[in-house]
Amino acid sequence: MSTSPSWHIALAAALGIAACGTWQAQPLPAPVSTENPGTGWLEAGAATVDITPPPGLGLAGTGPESRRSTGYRTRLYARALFLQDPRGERIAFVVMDLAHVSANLHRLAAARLFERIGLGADRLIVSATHTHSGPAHFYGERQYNLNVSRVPGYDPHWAQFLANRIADAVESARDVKRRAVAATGSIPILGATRNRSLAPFCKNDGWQDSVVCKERLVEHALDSMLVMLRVDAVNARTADTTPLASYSVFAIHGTGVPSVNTLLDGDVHVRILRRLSRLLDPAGRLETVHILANGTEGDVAPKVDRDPACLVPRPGVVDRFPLARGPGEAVDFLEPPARKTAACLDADLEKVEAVAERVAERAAALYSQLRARLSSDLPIRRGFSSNWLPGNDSLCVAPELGSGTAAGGEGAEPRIRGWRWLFWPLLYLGFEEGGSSVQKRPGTCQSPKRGLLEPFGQIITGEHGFPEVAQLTVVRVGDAIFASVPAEVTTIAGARIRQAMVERLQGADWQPANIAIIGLANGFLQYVTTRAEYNLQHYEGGSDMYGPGTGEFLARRLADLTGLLRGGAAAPSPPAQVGPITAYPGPASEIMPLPLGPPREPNFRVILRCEAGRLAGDVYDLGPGDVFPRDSVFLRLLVEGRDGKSVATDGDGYLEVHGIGWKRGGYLWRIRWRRPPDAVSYRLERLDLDGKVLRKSDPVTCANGG
Amino acid sequence: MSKLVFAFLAHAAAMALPLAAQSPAPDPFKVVGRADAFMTSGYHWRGIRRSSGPLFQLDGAGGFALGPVAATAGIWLTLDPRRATATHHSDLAAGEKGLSEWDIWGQLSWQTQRVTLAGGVLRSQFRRPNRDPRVTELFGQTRLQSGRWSVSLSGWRAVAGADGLYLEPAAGFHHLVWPFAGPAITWATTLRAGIQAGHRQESLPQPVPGATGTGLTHITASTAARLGIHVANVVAIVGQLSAEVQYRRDAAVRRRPDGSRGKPLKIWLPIQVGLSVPLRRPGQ
Repeated sequence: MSTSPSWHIALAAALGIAACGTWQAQPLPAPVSTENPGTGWLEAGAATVDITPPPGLGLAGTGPESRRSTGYRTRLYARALFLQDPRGERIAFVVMDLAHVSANLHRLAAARLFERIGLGADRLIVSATHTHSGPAHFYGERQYNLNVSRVPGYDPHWAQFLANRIADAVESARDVKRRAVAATGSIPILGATRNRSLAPFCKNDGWQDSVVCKERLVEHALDSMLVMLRVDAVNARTADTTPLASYSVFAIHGTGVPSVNTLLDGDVHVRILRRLSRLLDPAGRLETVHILANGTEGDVAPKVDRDPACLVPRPGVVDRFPLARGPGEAVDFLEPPARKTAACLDADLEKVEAVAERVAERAAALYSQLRARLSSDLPIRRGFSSNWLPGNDSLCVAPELGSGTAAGGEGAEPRIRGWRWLFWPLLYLGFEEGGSSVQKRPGTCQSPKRGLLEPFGQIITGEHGFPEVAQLTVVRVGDAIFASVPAEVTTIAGARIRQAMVERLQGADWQPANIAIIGLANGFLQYVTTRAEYNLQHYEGGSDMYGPGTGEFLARRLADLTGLLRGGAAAPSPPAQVGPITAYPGPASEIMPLPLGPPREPNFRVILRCEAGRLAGDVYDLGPGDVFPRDSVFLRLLVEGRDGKSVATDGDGYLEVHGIGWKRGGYLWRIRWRRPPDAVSYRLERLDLDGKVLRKSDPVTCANGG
Repeated sequence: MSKLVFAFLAHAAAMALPLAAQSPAPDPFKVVGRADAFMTSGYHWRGIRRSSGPLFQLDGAGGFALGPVAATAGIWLTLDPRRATATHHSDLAAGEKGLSEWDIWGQLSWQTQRVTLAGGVLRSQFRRPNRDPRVTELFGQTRLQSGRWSVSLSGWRAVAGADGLYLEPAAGFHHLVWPFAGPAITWATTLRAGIQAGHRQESLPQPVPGATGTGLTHITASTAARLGIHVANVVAIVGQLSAEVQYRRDAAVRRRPDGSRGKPLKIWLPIQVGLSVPLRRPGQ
């Protein structure tokens, strides 16, 4: 525990009492799944629902670099896989195109699912892909709502919407469940990721003198295994199988898209899944749902060497022109030049595609291999626990971020990275990895962490500012284990968790062939490192909130849950402990644009044109809150002609949609197609919710610069 | 000395050329403008104390901008709400209050994220009992920002109503620039020196404010916290609290209201509160 001076505690308490009204305590439901009769078959269903919000929400993940969203490049989804074994044991996996998933989303969704299908929090694993271009404002923790984005605030409508959509995805998957066969396996993938925090990694026992550390082989200092669960549907009459879904776990940070981006984007995950679908089903005939969860990605970044043009804002004079006489100049952070930003984005998006291609190729290879191992004999068992964190076991009483957190991770550096001093030589900032972010404070629980904005950080954070409960799940599916942790676990911390789980199964009736740790699931505790990594106080160690013992704590608790699954296929799942959780999201704000209806004198129209060799367009239409959320296509680009072949739809990663604002006669949506057009005529169409064409542009030809 | 100034400016411009080459395509031709209304607890100009009490200072400026280049002109007024007496600093004659100085200026400027270059003409007019003295100066300013550090050099060459060149080199460090959205908060410490090259008002019948000697006139170290709060995304309420320490060498800088010579070191805490239009906080 931090030994802050008593006046700090007194002030914090006073501020806490004063702030009680703004903490908005919200006890969350704690539903436990009901008994469920089996059908004697393994059954599975999968579904995808759209969660793309209208433009205007803040993007989450890089704190002061996370801009307000101005539109979308890819649509965002919740993808769900529902599994039920012959005895009726069920589990639902959901992966969201979000930076994080908070415990309140998990519990609120579980409450809805409990009402609809009797599925509780103990059988629901909701995780985030960790895209840093996904929206914020849904957290049950006040500090996250304030600081994960430049746009602060908690929007209860948005949180409820997300919880509903999670439930919708699971219910839809359950509604279409069919008799199934499944198989699990793993494959190494090198060349797509790298360790972004090698110095702490190499401080771990056994690694100091390794070739990986001596030669700085960052592409090998990580967990390269992709673990996959392939599920095929079985035709009850013919016993033929058809691909139904896959659920994979792979460690890769969602930071391929640089922080200068302002469009919603599923980052590397959405591109991997798109390529995987194309590789496995080039004709697009199947409706296989591929799902990719994140693994122990705490220190693992996509292999995207950031373009030097990708500048973050720097301090500069904000005045448009200097005053010869007048008040002094105003200094603020100035955005990098727009041309550089655009070049940076284009370059990095190409690199993200290359990373996605590499992962998708290997995932497709594993998927094909698993066909020969498909079986209906995959028992499902789960263990679940809710763990109170403050002061529990080896954890610190007060969660605290380190100053190294403000330095950001490599590849996602914020504008304040490298700021060491507030006032030399009296007050440190310590916004760097290592160096001044390390402070020897013997006897304190968080030592050697220098607290963020110390000595005021704890006061600013206040009580209940960060998560206080960790929900852990261990699921056995056949001979594989899927364990969920509400954190970003580093490579070695993850390896130790797996090791603890394996040790607990020694002498058991079965042994796991693969153990996948699903990160960022059912809550968000930020990072979890090993003690050795923590001692260096790089970004990940600084963001390990409950002190150096967090990794060991999670390893013990997950091993305990694993131990409950030692029984063979006939043993039932152990009773679940779904403990109480209270959310403290802070005051509610209305951030997500709501429906306004059409303008008084609508003049809706669709215009397509050629701009510098690219297709661009203006769509005057309904406002953001009236167009989104929606599951169906909004805009479609076609090749003009009899066939009217569709070449792009909004949010496919290439047809970017920017929300500009209200103009005369409608809200202006500006589109840009990132692909070079062919020498043919194109048309842009605006579709209604049923897919019918509402309006269309005149045909435009735009080859060779138009 | 003036050659030195312009050599420095030319050097700064040369340094900035690679940055200019990387700058975005210029924005469309734009009309630009701004206005400020401030109340300040005390007014020091080129190290010289010009008021003993609070003043109102208003300014307005406008012009045209093409990308980083702007051609602008403006006016700046100082209003003393108290009647001047012989026992406090004021530009006004005893018994008077109200407008004490008004300046007009025109300039060309070039400003990027890191570099500011500006040059133009400044005409300052003062209220005096018999005849309002005026001074016209050519001025140049260059400012470089690198991370949290900034350095600048400004120069004013009197061409009418006075003589001499006044130079002001400065170096500053921004301890804090608020990185999140919301209010604009900065805390900066600046070291600034005043240098008078050539006598400013030798043999002139109507003296205008300025150093009496030549060489170093003063050195000021100031640390200032500034807060800008948005109002309806249009105007900013600005408040600034500073602590300043001044080493005073020149007689005009050290002069007390009664004409006696003050101590070489002085400490004070100026406060500024006002409104600025338009809001200049970068977007989210």
